[in-house]
Amino acid sequence: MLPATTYLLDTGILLHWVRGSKVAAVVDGQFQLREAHFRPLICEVSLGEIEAFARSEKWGEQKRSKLKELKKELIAVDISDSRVIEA
Amino acid sequence: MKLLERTFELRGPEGLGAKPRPGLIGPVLGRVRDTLLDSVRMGFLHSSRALGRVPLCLQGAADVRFIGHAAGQNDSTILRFEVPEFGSVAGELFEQGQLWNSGPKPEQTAFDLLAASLRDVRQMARNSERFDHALLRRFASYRHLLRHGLSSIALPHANASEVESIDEPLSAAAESLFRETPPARRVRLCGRLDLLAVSKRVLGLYLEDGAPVRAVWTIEGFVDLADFLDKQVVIEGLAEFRPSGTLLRVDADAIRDAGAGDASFSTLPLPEVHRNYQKAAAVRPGQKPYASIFGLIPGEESDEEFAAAVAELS
Repeated sequence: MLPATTYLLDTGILLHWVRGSKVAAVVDGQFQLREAHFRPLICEVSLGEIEAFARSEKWGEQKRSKLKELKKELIAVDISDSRVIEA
Repeated sequence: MKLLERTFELRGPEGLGAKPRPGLIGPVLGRVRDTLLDSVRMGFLHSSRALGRVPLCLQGAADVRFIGHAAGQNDSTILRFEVPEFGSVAGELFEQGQLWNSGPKPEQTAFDLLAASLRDVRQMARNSERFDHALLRRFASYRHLLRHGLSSIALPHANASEVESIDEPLSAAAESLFRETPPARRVRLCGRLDLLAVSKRVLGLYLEDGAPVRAVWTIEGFVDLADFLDKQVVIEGLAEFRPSGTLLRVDADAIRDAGAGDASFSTLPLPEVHRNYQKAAAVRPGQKPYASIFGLIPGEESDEEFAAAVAELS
């Protein structure tokens, strides 16, 4: 059965997801995210954190290009949105 | 004190006349004082439910007395009231001039302000300064009376070109505007304190770009604010917005001298935008966004090194 809800991903989970790590596989096993027909939601702070991660890990041109591609697939949620604060 | 007679004209599907049932006029009489007080506060403070003590002059301006009833035309009932003219009961409200162009006039009464608010609601004036969230809720709450024997409560006024009234369309308009109004949110604003209206506990400041902001001081110690006059200050409080999303006022509860870095707070606050994220996240049938980004950026480092780097983020 497909997930009927959207999820807001923590920065760490998102990084594991785009790496395709074992942690991501466990998350997928629990939530079947790969079958989801919704775009991932992230908090807008995560955009800055991912950028910081890319710099600290000295991502090259190829990875940065993929990062741009990734951002197009994400929906950034306003940090002051009360639904985020109350979640 | 100069007192003027003002009236409500009540109509109902079964008629009321000279001998209305108490159950029909009782709820109207029970609400008239609070409705007028809210309208007066809205007119003078831009806040129908200003926090803290209601200034005595405003209480006096909204002091309404029931002086009897009579049969009106077409089986309506006229409720007669006496209210003071603002200038005669609260002259101090006009001594410091008006902070708003649309402010009340000395020759007006609470009924005039109520009628003006009703007019803006009926016209769905989303940028009006004559109602706020609480006043809209009060107008909408009249729906209960309108479903139990009354069809309209009109405010006939000899000098008005159009008679304003509370009826079903008005109540629906109020509810619609109420739903459109963004929720209040806490803000910090930096600007030059230009005005202090002691009798109304209102302060006005100008932001860096010249935009005026009006705030109602909601705690004690208003007179102490005089030390901040004509200085760059920072205020904090709850921002109330109009249905259009523009700032109506700030209910301020803190003030201090502005310091380095506060200039970034010298812009008009915006309401929280309530995006429909469920809709934004939806995709065309067949698309699987999670699947398309799974493993999109593989790494060369070990899983342990990667996990440690991610852990450092938190």
